Amino acid sequence: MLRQVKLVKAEVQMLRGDERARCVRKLRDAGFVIYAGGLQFAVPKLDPVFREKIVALGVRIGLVTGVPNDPQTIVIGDWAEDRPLPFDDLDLTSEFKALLAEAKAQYFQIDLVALNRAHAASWNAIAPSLKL
Amino acid sequence: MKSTACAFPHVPGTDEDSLANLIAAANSVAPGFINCVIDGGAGIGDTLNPLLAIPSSSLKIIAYEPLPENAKVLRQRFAGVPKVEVREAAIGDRLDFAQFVVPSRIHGAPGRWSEGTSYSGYLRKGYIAAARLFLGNMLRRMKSRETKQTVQIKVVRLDADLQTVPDVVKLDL
Repeated sequence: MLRQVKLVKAEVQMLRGDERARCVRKLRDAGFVIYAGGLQFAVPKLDPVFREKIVALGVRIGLVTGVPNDPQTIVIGDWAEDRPLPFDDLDLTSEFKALLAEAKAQYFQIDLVALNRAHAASWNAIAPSLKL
Repeated sequence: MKSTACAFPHVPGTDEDSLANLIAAANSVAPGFINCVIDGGAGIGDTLNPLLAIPSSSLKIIAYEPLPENAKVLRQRFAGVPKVEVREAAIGDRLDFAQFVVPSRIHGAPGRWSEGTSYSGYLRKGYIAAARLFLGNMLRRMKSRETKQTVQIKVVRLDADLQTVPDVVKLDL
């Protein structure tokens, strides 16, 4: 069935779980091209020092919100387009993970968007910038 | 900054609205290109509204939600919306029942989440979908954070559970 699906969007945990590599392998085997999209993470406090450091590593911070009765600060963002993504293959770089650990991040989630190459002509007509 | 080899190129903006925008653009360029969307881990359905705003009479959304109380809210919320079908299950690689660990219930907040109660949970065993979910419900009576609990949920295989091939699949891993 997967080979017939045109688009898969997966919200992927980067700090735990073992499904990431299996998911990427299955999608690639089925002929999908995978893109990294938005991100979300939770930290006890988004202090100015951490904010400056994570922005320097390519995170573009969008919405910052809290949750009543929960001490976490939830950050929803994106990646700066003028910087390389802080990934080492399928994993976050050790520098990036160390920063998240220092900030006691509860989770770090990214969106993967996978487009089926079998429909490349259609996707290129729909979104030419993707150059599928 | 250290130069790294990344497995993926970056595509800006892939939140729910952007996904809906992409589907809308696809159907605008190629009418009928996207007819069936699977939302794996639909929570209380906040992700469905941007999809429902897509001007397409043929678009069908099948929302999978494993937690019973959230599925109940989903069914109530989208009762009478023929485009939406709710299925109470997680998506996995086999038909099964699994223990879904709910470490905490956290309250919604103005902004990203609907007012009410939401969950942060994960499956104890590995499955294709739903390893972490932000799910919600509208049980306003819950006033304080609760402790970790485990609930049993149904897990289905998409290809066995569907009678059609979906065009778009959204999953939480």
